[in-house]
Amino acid sequence: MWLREEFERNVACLQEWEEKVHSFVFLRTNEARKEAMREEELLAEVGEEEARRRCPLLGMTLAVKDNLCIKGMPATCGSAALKDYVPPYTATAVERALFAGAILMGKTNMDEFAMGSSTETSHWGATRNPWDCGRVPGGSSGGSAAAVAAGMARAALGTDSGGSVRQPAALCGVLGLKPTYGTISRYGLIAYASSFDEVGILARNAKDAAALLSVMQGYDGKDDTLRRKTQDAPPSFEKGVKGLRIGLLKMGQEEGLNEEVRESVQAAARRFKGAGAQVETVTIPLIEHALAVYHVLSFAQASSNLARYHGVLFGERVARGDWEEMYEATRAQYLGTEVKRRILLGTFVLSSENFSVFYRRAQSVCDALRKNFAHALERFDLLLGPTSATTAWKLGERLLNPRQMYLSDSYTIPANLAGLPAVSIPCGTDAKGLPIGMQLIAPAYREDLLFRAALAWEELSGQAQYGLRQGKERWKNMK
Amino acid sequence: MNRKIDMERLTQLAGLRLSQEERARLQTDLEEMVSCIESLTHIPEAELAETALSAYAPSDAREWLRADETEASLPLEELLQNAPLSDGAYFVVPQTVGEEKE
Repeated sequence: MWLREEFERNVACLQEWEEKVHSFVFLRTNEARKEAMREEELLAEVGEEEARRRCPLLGMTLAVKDNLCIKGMPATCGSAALKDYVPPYTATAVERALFAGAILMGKTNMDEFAMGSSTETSHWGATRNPWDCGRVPGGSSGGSAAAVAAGMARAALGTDSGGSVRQPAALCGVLGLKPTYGTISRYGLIAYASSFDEVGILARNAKDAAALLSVMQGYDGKDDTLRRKTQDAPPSFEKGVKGLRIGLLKMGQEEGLNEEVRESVQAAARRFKGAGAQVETVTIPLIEHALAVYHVLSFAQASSNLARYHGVLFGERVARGDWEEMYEATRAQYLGTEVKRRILLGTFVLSSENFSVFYRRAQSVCDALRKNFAHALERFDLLLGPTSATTAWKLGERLLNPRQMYLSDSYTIPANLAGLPAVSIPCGTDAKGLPIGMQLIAPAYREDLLFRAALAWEELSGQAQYGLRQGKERWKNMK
Repeated sequence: MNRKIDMERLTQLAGLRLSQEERARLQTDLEEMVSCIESLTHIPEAELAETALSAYAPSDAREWLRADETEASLPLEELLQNAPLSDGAYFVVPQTVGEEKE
């Protein structure tokens, strides 16, 4: 039957790709196979309609980023500090997805504590991009993106604080959704920057992403930033983009935007226009300061959130000297350089002499930016732009240049600052055959508009399934 | 403006010990990053929002407070299972308070 066949296709991809790509830090193929067999039995017993009513995610193999806790399974967050940590509880997002029938394949690699844009800073080594194994998959949810792109799982969970779902989705040629802040519970998500951390979805098509969002969203009593009003049923999507007002974000040269990326996004805008959408160029005042705002606010929150890794409650400890010596030695030994860099800048902006100069100021700019987005989204239903300034770069190319690495997120960060839902959708390939992603941003809680445009794009581009096997030749044909 | 960062004080505040090599490298990185975030201080006031403190959630979360009720927590042994050192009831840490003087 289809369910078991699909599962075994994923396993075959795992056998073909995992050694080359290194998406996973923990695999559970045998247990997953038993679960697939149980679902197949259910399918045979009650029929597809009833099985799908009981399990909306029937047969969906799922990879989960390693900063989401699952009881009894390692959650290392890509860090030596948590290399043996086994959480005593399960994240709400994972619990709900599994309850709805998703089949857990394993935990995926990530930048240490989700601090990175290339999945190279993991304690477990780098993940590679399946489209070109000499290149990065993006990050920090690079393991999840690569797993979906290579067909090792049908969908994956990632987390997105500054673009960590959308940017790797773009670089790996799959769909990546960051919902509105306050949509999916962060209970069981190991915190990085709490004002921006969100659970996101990587998938091969909009329908799968919508199904996952539908089962994971909503109040759970464990994350007080969650919206209380929830949708009981998946939203029904209007078809096509006819009549949608799409604002094409002005694309300057400041972020090092690659010409092929620009052309690909502009071509997508023309296609949307050709399908009946109204497309106009739009600028968001202060957007050029988003990266600086994000650095101040997220690094400050990281410095506070990561103060807990001191060798007392969990994780590793260097048992040496008094309390202070133990604390400092533990952090010195088990935290990586990028993590230390962010903790230090965060500590700097929170110190008494700098708090007003930087932290308060950044909050104020963030507020203004959010209002500027709200103003633009009164005129437009969706905002369109690139997800990443470039396609996937070579492994190691930006690792020693933090400024260049941080610029990788310049197009994704604004939606995090504004708390708005955004999706990255593949829109072509460059001359090297590497995927390009476009980003759509919607008003708060209007994920239905994102799905509407994403579904329309699947028709317009002729791409019913994103990913390496499905995409490489078809994008060529589209050109 | 190129701000000089006092790494001695900063590492102490952050509870981080750095090797000489790390310290030199991170000092350069941090000073470069601080010069970037200083751009925020040059934005004219007129372009900024009136409110200074943000509530990031666009949701209705601010209208709600959790009920002030005690709930069962996870079992102690599960919470202690990841502790680097425990005595079965408490986390064990180096002595933090000196011996009482008579």
